[in-house]
Amino acid sequence: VRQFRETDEPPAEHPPIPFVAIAASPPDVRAFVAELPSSVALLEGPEHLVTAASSGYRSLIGGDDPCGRRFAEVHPAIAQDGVPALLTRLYLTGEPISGTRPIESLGGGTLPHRRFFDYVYQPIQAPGGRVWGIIAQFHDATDRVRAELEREFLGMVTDVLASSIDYEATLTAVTELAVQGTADWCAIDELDDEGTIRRISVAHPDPKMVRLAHELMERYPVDANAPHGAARVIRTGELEFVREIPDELIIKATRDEEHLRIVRALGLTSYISVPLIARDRVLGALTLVTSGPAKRFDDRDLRVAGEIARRAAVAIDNARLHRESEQARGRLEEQAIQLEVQAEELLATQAELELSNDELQHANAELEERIAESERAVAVANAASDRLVLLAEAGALLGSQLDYQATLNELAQLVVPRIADWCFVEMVDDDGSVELVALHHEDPGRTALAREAVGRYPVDRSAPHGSAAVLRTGEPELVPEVPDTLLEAVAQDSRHLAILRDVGFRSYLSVPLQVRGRIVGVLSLVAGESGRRLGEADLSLAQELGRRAALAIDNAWLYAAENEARHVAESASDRSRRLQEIASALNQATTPSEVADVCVFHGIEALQADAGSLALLSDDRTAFEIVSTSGFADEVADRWRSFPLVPGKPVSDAVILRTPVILGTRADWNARYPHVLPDVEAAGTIGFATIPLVVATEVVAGLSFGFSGEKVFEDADRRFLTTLGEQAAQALERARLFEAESQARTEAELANRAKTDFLSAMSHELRTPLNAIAGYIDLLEAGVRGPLSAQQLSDLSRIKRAQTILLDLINDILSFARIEAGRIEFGRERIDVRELLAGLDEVMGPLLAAKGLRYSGDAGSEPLFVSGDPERIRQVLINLLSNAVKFTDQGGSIAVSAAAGTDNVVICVEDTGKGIPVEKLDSIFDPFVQVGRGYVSEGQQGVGLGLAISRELARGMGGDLTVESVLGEGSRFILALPNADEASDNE
Amino acid sequence: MNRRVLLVDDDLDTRAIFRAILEHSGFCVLEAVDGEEGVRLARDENPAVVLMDVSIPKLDGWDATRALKADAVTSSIPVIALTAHALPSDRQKALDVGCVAFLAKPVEPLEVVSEVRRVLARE
Repeated sequence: VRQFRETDEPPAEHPPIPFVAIAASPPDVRAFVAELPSSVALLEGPEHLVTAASSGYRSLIGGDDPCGRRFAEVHPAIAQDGVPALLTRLYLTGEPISGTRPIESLGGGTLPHRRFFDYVYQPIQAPGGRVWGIIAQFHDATDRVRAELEREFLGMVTDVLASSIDYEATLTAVTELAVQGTADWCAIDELDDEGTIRRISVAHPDPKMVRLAHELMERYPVDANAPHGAARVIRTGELEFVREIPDELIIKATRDEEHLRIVRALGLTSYISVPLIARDRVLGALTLVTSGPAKRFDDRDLRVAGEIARRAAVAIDNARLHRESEQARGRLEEQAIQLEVQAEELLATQAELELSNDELQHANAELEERIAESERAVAVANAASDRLVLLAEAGALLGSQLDYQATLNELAQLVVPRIADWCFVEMVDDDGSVELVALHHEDPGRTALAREAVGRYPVDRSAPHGSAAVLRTGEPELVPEVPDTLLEAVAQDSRHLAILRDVGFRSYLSVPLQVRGRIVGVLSLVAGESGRRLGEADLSLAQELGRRAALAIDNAWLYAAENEARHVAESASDRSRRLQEIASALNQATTPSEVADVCVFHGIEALQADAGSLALLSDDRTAFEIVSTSGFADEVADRWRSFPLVPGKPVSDAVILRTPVILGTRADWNARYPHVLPDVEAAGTIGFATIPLVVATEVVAGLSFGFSGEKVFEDADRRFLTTLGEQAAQALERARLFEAESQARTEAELANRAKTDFLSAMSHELRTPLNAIAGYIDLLEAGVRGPLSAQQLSDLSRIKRAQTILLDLINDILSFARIEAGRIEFGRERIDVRELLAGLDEVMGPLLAAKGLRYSGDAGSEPLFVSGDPERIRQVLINLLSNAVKFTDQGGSIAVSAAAGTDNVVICVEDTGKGIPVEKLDSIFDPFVQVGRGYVSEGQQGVGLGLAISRELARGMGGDLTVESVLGEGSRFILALPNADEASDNE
Repeated sequence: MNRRVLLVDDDLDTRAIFRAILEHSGFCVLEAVDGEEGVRLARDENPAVVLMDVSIPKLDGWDATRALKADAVTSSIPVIALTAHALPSDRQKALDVGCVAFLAKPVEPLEVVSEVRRVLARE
């Protein structure tokens, strides 16, 4: 029972709501969750913050608003069980987690004792499969779990009691079971033959407490006249149920201060005491007690206690009968021996007194009478002993088996021929007809004859005598001498009469079999050819046997009901497990065809169907196309690969009417689709079900399953189909969205590539004429075409500068296009930052000097190494420095410095230039963004792509480029690069 | 002294610019617009040096150079390759096919003149 509480079995009745997250953004999901009536919470982030809570969840946990708090903080008990770690793992596995727990662990302070909930932690995935949150769902599962626990518990009790005749040991086992299941304490008290109350067994999970209870019992034995508790229950035969034990009751029930102190310390909360009754006699009492606050028994517990008591009473009664019969046999054997001794003594006396004739004769007569008397006494004693032995044997037999038909047959064999020539048991069916379930005669031939007679002449329920009358009245019937007139009255025709006469009904009796106040059958004994005459003693024995047989039947029925309930629960849990599996398989499916395959395959398995198919409705809603099929013959599958939507066909109707079409039998087909029946017969697939798959408000497909032969669709099948349909529809929609999205993405990528290719080609085309311009300028400048005037040379240099700017811009566009297309490969070297900065001086020196700027380079005091492509890093730094030179006026200064960051190296390029307006800081890295016309003077053009390229290069090497600036004071560009020493640590 | 320079390039502007600067510097310039014409002129005219653009029609610059080097009549004429990129792979390829030097485009006209002078001096 304890294990069950901890198990992670999936909840049987609440398959998880499969959340389709692809189309929903976190705010949408939050709003959706907040609106749900059931108990649902949304958890996000590594701390599992509650970001949305439904009203059901709020009322479940009570107290403050859970939103914004960590899940572990809202439910400390859950946190202790390692649930946060499970949730974190869920981010990696994406597999939902579910199970059942006692409600205490939810942490709701105001909930009553012994409640349970089912939970499901379901990941929400973004389109790429990334989990970004968790939906936690809770359902109250108290009724189901308690019913399962009780059923399991009573099953164990029955098993334990049927397993042994040593009733003290078995009752001890029962009390120990009870303290695992329902109570903290359990005791069984027995009323023995002397009228004193004896505690057979007391149990508590802690052995120390059991010892304490035994000590208390020794010091304060049970007072048979006590006004409360087991003693009163045994005295009155009435149960006691105290939901909340008041202190005055404890004061009344205890003997002295010490007793009161000990009992108070036990902290008893609630108790149930039920009488153990067998054959209308109170044998004892079963008492269950809880201790600790908030653990009160309720009506369910009372019912369970009653069931335990009923079973325990039978066990005690059987065991006592067995003991009594053993004792009686011993006493009677002793008595018989004594009588024989007396007879021998009398015979000896007779020999001595032979001489006196009169006296002798007198004595002889007396003696003979005494001998006869003693022989009669022995016979009576033997008969009584036989009966008790028979009862004990029957009790053991009936108590041990659960197949009551076989048991009743064995009972009939036990009775014949000991007390009758025939024994038969008839029972009333559910439909009210009477059925012969057991019949026995010593001669198998005659058994067969009697069976035939019974088969041919069913019991007439209105007959004035026999089993019919007993069934009607509930009163036993004893007919010591059967007159022929009675046979005539009972016989249904002359042949029947002949059979009855042939069987030789001389004497018979019938007793009712009564189960919980309802007459369910009749046990009859018949004396025939043996000439035996059945009397009152036989009747009372038969009544005793009848009571036991009825108990056996009741037990068997209960057992069958338990089995049935267990079966239903198991198949529900099996289905639920399958739905779970399906949900998980559907999560993996990314195309409609994969979704269809999952639905068809798992649907066939779960329903044990023989064939299945999924037909997608075309966009114009006029035809179906089958995207997945299994189990149908090839020619059938081919013929139905696509088919039109027309009313009057099952799949079409399911889609048109938006309701499942379920056809189990030929009669179902005949009623709705008589014209299709011949095809169906030919295919041999009679059982058929189609469910429409509805996405939003549109039916998009029909999911069908076929069964060889007819099929009974049970409620569970229908429910399963509905749930499968819902899951399938959602998965189908998700797959469609997913496909549409990946198509859009592919298109976008293609478009982007085309753009890059275009830019690349354009750059080449533009560069050729620009190079020609440069060439002609060079020719002119070189004086090849003759001497030039100063004005002409000045114009040429302007043309040349414009040409250079244009060429640089085109080169930048080409680089940027290459980087964006991922066509640049980065080297990965360990680079000494000191050397890197020293190399810059060389390049930048002339530029800096030309503009009269101060420059300082500081590589830091410690040696620093970055990881990256040295040429690209140089390119970035030169770009940053060129910009700094461009935008810093004469007399300003530029500084480059390097330092180790937390897990990288940062190189800063600072200037005292005009700075960048705040609103432009974000966009200066975007391609073709200029800081602003007002800020750019002649000679400062051509920076449109430099920063964009530099940042892309930095990122391409695993680093980044950022900027800080104060307008009018200067800018600081920060190039972050992976620390080569850190990076090698990671490898 | 042989001062004939064979210029093989399909681009009209490049030919015009190089011809002007080379003639200005005292060279005599022959022009070809594709690889086949380049090989034919080299054989017929025996230039002192060939300036060979590599991306030209019919026979590309690399194959044309190979053809020149394979023919005993032209194998001794030095070839300077004109490539679109200054990649190490271009340099290696130029050496492989038998060029004596290579210039990456865009190239300044005066640089062409000095390279031609350097090659001829070495010869």
